[in-house]
Amino acid sequence: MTSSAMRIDRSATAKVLESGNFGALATIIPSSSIDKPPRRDIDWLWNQIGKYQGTETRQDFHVAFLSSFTLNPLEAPLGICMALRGMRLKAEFVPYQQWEAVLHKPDASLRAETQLVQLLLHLEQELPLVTQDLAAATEIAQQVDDFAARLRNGIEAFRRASRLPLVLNSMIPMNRGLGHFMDANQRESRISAVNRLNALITEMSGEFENTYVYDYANTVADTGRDQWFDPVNADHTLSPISAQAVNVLAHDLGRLYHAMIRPRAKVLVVDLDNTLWGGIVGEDGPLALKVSGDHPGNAYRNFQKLIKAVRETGIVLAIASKNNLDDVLEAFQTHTDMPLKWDDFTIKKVNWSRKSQNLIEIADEIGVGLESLVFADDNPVECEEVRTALPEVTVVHLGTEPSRYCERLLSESHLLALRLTHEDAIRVKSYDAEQGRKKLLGSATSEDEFLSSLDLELHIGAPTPGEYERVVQLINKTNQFNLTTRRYTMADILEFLESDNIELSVAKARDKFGDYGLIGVQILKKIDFSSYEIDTFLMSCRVLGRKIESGILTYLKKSALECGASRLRGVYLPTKKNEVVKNFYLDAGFRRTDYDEIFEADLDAANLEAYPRFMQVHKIGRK
Amino acid sequence: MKPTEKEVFDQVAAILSDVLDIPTEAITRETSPDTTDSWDSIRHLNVVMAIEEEFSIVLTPEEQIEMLSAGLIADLLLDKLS
Repeated sequence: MTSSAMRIDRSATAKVLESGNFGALATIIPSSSIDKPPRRDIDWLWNQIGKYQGTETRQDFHVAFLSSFTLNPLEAPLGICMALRGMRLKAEFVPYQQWEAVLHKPDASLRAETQLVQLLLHLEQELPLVTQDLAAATEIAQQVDDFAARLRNGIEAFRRASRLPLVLNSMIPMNRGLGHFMDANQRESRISAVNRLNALITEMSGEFENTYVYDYANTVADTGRDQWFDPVNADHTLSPISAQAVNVLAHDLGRLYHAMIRPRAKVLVVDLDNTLWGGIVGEDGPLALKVSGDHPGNAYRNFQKLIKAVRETGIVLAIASKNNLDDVLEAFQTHTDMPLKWDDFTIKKVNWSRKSQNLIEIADEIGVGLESLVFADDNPVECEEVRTALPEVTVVHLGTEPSRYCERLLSESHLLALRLTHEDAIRVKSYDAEQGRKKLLGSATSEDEFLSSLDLELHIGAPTPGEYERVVQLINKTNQFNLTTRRYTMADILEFLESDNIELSVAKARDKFGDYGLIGVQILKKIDFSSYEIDTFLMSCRVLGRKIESGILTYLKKSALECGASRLRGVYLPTKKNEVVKNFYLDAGFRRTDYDEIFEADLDAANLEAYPRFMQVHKIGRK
Repeated sequence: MKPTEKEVFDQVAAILSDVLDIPTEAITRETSPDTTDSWDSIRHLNVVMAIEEEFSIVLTPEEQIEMLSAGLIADLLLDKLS
């Protein structure tokens, strides 16, 4: 057994840990193969990471686990997965089967530093009848209702006391028992009861703020129920899942938490030859490309369909291919039935430059950081070139089997979202509309003329609950037009919205080319009886260059005046990325103060400037 | 071929060292949860998982409870592997 498992190279690990660059652990143990090393190596590595004494750059991540079984062995593999992503796991395992008590009294039972609460419940402990052979259907149904009611009460109580993100889990029985053939043939069965239960759990996640579901049942299905559950352990220890399952669970939860707390990728850059189609267009000619029909054509076609769908979820597509442009254009013209069209790609880099160079240009043209890029290529040499030159870019080496491309792309990148916001759905269209605006800008004789011709409309005011997710998203991923780059969690946002001394507002914009959705977040904080401070002022980079910010600033002044303030304070905290707003407050007529980062303006209702002529500003009604 | 007593003990010591984060040299037959702070009931689960995996065996509940020192673990394994 040991021989087939992947041992961890200990001297290489020691070197990486000495450097303090935890991300480089990926070269020793990629997170996608966390299930490969033997348990003793996982424990060893986690012990070594725990001993790291150097300057800590990792962000702490405190999770409290409430489970129906002993989950402690999860700590080491999950800790390693989080370390790979630049986070330091602090796990708290609440003694099993106390989830209900904790939900009802979170303040008394959880550490103050807790950042996320994860439930991991098993049917066998929580709803034993559902897993029992030949229990009466009415009794099973009753147990599902009772459990759902207890869970709902628990979440309700938890929400009254805490704003922390709460992750529920879907469930699956350990085995099929006597219902193996029968369950699918009866309307009322254990299977239908479990399905109903899982549907109820998903409903609850929509009903309560900051509450999510982890699809544990399908993670078990991915590995296989027989591999996942260990009936011997289940009977004689408190940990019914296998050693392999613990590691797979760690990998999956690591990705989930990454998706919850770190920004999602914004751009997917793909190669063309042997990535989007089989064959090399420059050598084989466009007609010979395999992109439909039998394998491997159907595999490439499926991969294209996935990429098209990724675009629909708000990820911008780009091409980085070493080819002659004419050959590539001919390929797209020849295969008009390909799922992906030439115009689906917002940026196309078809040339003979290094791919890393093209990726830098792509990031630049779209206006995002390199860490927002995912690059997928079948060629290991190209992958290595990008990985070495641009460590910030997520590189997915697709391998040699196109039928596995989809799986590789999704499991090794941060393209997955927990929920899609309205903005995700319209984002790519906005980038495309941007091309239209650029053309218009080229033909307008003055900036004012250009801005007037856009028919800009701005709506500013309090967000609706459905928009909270988007607010958190913007606060945590906006780098350029962001005066203070202060990051806040959903819990913080909910607190601000309730506070009497804090005004959180959002800005939504549209023009004749399209709807940008929610693009700005502003937080005004009262600092004394006569002054307010602009704690947060940020705008999505998609709407830069339209002077929307001056409309928002006027709105903020009006708001502060309405709250009785006579002075408004602006703050600029410099980062590597927000140079573009360095002089924002000075340009807007604020004066310097004794502190470099603080600017001030007096507010006077009589002299307050009007909104810019070229935009219509509407105030969104408050609750 | 049946492993010798020393071979089995050395392997057990190496595993305990990895899982419990104690130096191999410090491990004797008498090393036990009573003498080792990091060897609590929770870590015992990790010890069991690592031993089962390393020796490709399944430990019964009774055996897991008997694994009360490095020496006892080695004895148990010698017995099981013969």
